[in-house]
Amino acid sequence: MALTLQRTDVDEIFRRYYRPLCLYALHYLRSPENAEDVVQDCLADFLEGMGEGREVADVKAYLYMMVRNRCLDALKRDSRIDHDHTADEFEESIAEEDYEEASFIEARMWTAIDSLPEKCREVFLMSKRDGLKYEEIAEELDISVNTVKNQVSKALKTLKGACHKVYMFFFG
Amino acid sequence: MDRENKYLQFVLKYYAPGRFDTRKALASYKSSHPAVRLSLWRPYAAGVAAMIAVCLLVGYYLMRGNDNPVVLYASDSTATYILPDSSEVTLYPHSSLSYVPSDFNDDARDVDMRGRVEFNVRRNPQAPFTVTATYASVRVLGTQFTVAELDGDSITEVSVTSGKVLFTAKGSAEGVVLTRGMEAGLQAGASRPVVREDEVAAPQVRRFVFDNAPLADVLKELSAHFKVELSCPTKGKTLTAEFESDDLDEIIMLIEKSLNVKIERKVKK
Repeated sequence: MALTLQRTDVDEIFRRYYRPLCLYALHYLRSPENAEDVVQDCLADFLEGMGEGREVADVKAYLYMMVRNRCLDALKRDSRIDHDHTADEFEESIAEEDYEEASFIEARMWTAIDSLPEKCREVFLMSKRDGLKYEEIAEELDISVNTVKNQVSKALKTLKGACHKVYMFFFG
Repeated sequence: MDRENKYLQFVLKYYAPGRFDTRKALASYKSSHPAVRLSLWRPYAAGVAAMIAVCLLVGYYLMRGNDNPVVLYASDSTATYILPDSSEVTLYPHSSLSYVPSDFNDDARDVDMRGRVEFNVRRNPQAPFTVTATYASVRVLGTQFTVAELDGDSITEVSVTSGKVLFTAKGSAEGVVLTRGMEAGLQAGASRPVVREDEVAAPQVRRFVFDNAPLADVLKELSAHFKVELSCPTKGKTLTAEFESDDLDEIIMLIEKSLNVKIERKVKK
């Protein structure tokens, strides 16, 4: 995966790494806004370096290292290392060495959710994120319970497909 | 599956539509890093580079070629340019200014203009700055003023923000001298401009520039401006100074201190 600026370009780097890096940074920072800022800065600096002719053998490893260092710097600077957020059991259970792998799959999931039809996404988020019961969602949106069920299962299927594809792509 | 579920929970916790938007991030990057983008090898980059090269070449040729006039334009918005002598010109929409490099040198600075142009001329007594419009001609030593051609060019107006200019009909030697805050108009075909007495749009703070000027002249100018009578018993002193003030007491004090003289002041009857 040796990339130099001659063979790839800005669009490709953003398309390939922006979202995974955001999720990677999010694991450290727990703030989407800060994660976006860190990643944007890293990519800008990285591309500037490439523009000046620096060659990087493994762009992916380089970018991940860059983002990780900046996240740790940011945490140190804000001395938020003693997490003031209440980490739930799911987050705690992902170990730091898994962040990189997780970020690629999470980015896929994120993209899959983004690309769901609006109504389907709404139902799915109410169910899985907000923890509402099918009946509650049906009442809230004025649709049948069956429709809710269908939409949720359709969304889950799309997500599974996305994850599967990512496994095939990176580990298959 | 358990691991996947963990990831999904993490995603769901932070998911919001429009967040981590690659396209938005890319657009923001591109708008703040135009130079880097140009350095990339894109199919059209070569075309863009070629165009830039041609523009630079043409520009260079125009600037170099001694007899080809340099033409400056303003299209739909005002444009400010710096001339080779570091004078500043602001062209109003659809105005133009041109000069021949060989006529713009250490001995003379001649420019041609159409439309409405504001000048901030670099002071240089050795090289008079002459603006020629369709019907009028304005000669200056170093000052700030505006020349405007109005009413289908039949009237040319000159207003002076600071300094002193000679405003004449084109080709005529006689004209009117305008100083700060004065405005004059020239009707097409008239032999000399007419000063507009009623339209004195003086800026808030007056700027006085004296370059090795006899003290008597300095006091005369200050007297006229502040409507007082200033005199000094000490003769033969000269002053080089620049004041940007509306406070006469301050100016007098500065002159007294720097020249070690005493200035007398009387209110004009």
